[in-house]
Amino acid sequence: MPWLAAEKEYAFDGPEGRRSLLDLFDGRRQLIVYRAFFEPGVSGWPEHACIGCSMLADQVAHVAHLHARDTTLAFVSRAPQTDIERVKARMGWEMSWYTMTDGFDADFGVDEWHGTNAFIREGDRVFRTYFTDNRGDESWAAPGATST
Amino acid sequence: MTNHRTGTRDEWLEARLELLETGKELTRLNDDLARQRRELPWVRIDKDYVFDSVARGVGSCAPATAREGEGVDPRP
Repeated sequence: MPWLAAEKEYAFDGPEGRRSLLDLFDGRRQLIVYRAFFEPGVSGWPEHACIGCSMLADQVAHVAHLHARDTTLAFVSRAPQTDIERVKARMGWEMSWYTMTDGFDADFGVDEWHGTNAFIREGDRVFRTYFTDNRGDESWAAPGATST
Repeated sequence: MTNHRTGTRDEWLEARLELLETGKELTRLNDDLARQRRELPWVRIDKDYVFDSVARGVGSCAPATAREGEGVDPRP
């Protein structure tokens, strides 16, 4: 697939403060961003994220395997960091999980439904390389969940 | 500058939707494989096996009890 340059700036809140889309790469070459629904008004709030997103979060293997492939996985939601940190700690989830602050979700097709965007960076330039949602999300995170 | 092909939003979308068809085909094939797997004949296990476990000691995970607690999320 051709790459699509991401020209706009986006800001996320993380455990250590404000982060740009470029920061989310954590210095690695590839970034996978999964939009999980965890925010006021979504079923389960504030005890847990939406049931499908929680199932998917539970399927994420140890991130060391992604890091070995120069890839960072990040979850993004609308929930504040205090709620995200609480649920991560309770569930033993270790992936980075940021709070969206702007129109990132609308620009990348994840404002209405969970979905996965992949990005590559070359220096300071960021490209969108792939997007999938619905059952496509299972294909990268939860292959085991689809086949029983 | 990248050596990878870059495109406009429309070119990218067209390529993605084309690839989506292949992805859907794979999902359907995988679902069908899973269905066929569930339909395979079963083989009855009539020999006794004994496994050790740390928590409850020798023999506690013999076949009759191995699935005890299944479906219960152990996390608080």
